[in-house]
Amino acid sequence: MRNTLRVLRAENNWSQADLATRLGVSRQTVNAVETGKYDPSLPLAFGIAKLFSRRIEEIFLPDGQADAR
Amino acid sequence: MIMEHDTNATFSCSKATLAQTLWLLATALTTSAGILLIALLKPSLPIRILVVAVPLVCGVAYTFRLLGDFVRLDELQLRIHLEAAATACLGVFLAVMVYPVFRIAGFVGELQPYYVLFLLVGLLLFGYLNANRRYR
Repeated sequence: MRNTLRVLRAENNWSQADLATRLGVSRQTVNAVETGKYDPSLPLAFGIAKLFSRRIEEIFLPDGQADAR
Repeated sequence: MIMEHDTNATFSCSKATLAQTLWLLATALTTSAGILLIALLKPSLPIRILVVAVPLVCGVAYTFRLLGDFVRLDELQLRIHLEAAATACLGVFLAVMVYPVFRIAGFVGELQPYYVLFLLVGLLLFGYLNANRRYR
């Protein structure tokens, strides 16, 4: 699964550590999600979506789907 | 949005590791001291009960500390620990299953409990480092 987390984070000028603090997870988790090494749980995905005021499907995209942004 | 996890997981993980290490050291030291005390001084029954109880209490404290700290881990860290535990369990299971063949073939001696302990700890460490590297 791909995601636009890195772009959204850059728009807000947040470091990975900033985002991790806001989400209540470790920086390693944010990095693993951003690089696509780890797919977040549904609660964490909802947390990310709420933080950026987006819908989950605007942030997380299936591998075959074209980038919505 | 702030979720209900620890907001500074890395920091608290370091603190937890220190406390766990201290309890583990206390368990190891009191066990070693107890064995020496009983072997060298042959103490009376109340002292022997105390010598057995102290490492047991330290061991129980270590276990509770370890389990309590798991709650503070976030989902990726839990996954890493779970993968390490799975590696260790499967590795020990396979080793114990295959060991009799090696023993009958004459390559190894009788299976000692501490072989299993070393293998378990080694595989747990290997599994942890491997999973940690994969998600880095």
